[in-house]
Amino acid sequence: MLEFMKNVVQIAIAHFWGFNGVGMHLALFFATLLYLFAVKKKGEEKTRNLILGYSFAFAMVYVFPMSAYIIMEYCIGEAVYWRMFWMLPFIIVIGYVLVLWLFQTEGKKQFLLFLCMAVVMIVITGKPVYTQENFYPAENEYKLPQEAIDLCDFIKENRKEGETVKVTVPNELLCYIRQYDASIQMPYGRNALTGQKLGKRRTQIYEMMTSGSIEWEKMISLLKKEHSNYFVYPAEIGIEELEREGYAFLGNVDGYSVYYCENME
Amino acid sequence: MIYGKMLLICAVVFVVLELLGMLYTCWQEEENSIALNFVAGLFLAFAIFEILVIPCIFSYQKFHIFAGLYGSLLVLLCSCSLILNRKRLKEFFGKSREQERKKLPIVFIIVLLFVVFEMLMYVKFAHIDDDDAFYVATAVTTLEEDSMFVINPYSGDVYHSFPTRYVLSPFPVWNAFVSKVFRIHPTIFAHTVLPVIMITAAFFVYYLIGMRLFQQDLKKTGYFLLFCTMIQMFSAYTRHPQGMVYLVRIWQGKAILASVLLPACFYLAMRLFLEKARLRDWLFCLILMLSCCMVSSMGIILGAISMGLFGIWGAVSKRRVREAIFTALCCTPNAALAIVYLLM
Repeated sequence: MLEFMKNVVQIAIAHFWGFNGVGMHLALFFATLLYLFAVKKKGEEKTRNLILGYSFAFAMVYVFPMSAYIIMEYCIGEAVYWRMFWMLPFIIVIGYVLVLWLFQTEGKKQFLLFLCMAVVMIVITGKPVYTQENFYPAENEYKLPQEAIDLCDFIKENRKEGETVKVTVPNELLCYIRQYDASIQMPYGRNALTGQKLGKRRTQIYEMMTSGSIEWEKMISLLKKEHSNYFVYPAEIGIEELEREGYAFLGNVDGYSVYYCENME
Repeated sequence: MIYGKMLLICAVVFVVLELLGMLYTCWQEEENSIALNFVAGLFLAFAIFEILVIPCIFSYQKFHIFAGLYGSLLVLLCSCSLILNRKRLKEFFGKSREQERKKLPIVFIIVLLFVVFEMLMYVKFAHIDDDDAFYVATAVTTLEEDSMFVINPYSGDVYHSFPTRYVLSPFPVWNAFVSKVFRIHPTIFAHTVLPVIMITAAFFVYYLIGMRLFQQDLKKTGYFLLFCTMIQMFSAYTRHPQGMVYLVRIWQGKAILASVLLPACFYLAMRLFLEKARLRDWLFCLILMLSCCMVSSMGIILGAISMGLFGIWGAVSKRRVREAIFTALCCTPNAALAIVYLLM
């Protein structure tokens, strides 16, 4: 029992550090809580009590082994236990206390100095969101990779009326095809990347597409059984084998070759 | 062309949410607040959606039938609101805003510029998130197949059974509904238009919190909003903080939960437990809990825990069991859906 409790608490603590990351905003939050605890300001008692009371209750629920276990096991899942911190109003509390401090200053100079210090403190204890790592200029209004859109449009141009399209694509395109055109079916999508169960045939296709070394005869047989009438692969690879087995080369789109097989038998 | 359509959608959504919200605020003595109307309207729209869509999904209704039903109800409610609030609207539009604009502190204008910047970043730039392969593709699939949670968005196969994790929180279907109404592709709506609406909602929630915290002091609220915005803009220390999900993927239900709905729990706790709570405030709480359930499966639990903790605090601080009982009653949708989830 003791071991179990220790384990749950350790997981909760690990999630705390995971959420905290390389930042110090949570430390800033604890500092503001300490301030609220230590200093009673007239007229602010009710708000102070609400913040302190809620934060304390949150901490209890978060680390108390029984509640933590129930939430991890039956409610939100152990892997995302850090999402509990979304309930913690630390942005509000930090903002609130900084304003209290700011308006305690005397004179314009002191006010401006403190304002600058507060902003610098927020900046150095955090990490900027607006970086090239997180944002890049949109290639199109869908905000999807252009290759995925071009491929879907190309298939749409070539599909026959009333024909069901099922396309197998390289892994880097899996997430985007059906965000653009849900009339296109696929043997698997992002569920393959996240390790969800696919079924034997689809797993074999996915494994070959992932490994990069394709046994074309086997692959084509699997594609036909899967009724994947369209096949997309990086250009110039496997053309001969695919054409020999009935997949006609339709064209090149943004560095990908598109093949089509009319007869799935 | 997309920008013109985007502005049109935002304007219509704004008016609809304001009217819906006025159904809640028309009974209060407080001064008419655009922010509170908008936020209450958004939560009401979400709550009604949740109540209507769950039975429709489980009875395998076609999407267009549900959309017609939900759309009609929204129109009906907006019409009722127009009738109920005609006097308030007349007063509101008749009032001169010149003085108010002059009173706006500089810090507030800076914050508004930051908010516009956040919106522009969503409009002009892209952020790829692989979770969209489910959330956005579900919206696209809903429109394409005219069904709700019948087709697997990853592959296009028919689901063998409902996806338990998502079916009780069908936010992508709401995306599909708005996209259908405005004839816009759900992916464009999610990545470009929805962020503008949700940033407005988040800003209004923080504004309302600030105004309560600082007793309607606009200058202090301005600085409060400035600090909150700065904290959000420097939240990239991991992928998880509220600020990070708010600024990079607000179109997903869980990001709306973290950035709009859970902060709104704090606002409501102030209304309920720091002041004299009225029945309409408890109804607002119920609506908020339904909204939490609608946007994300996480919301079913996190919304209830958050409000529950506030309720316990309220009961202890006021030494009145009533606060705990009323909070528990407001969380009944969460409890009911959690039981359904466990039974599925």
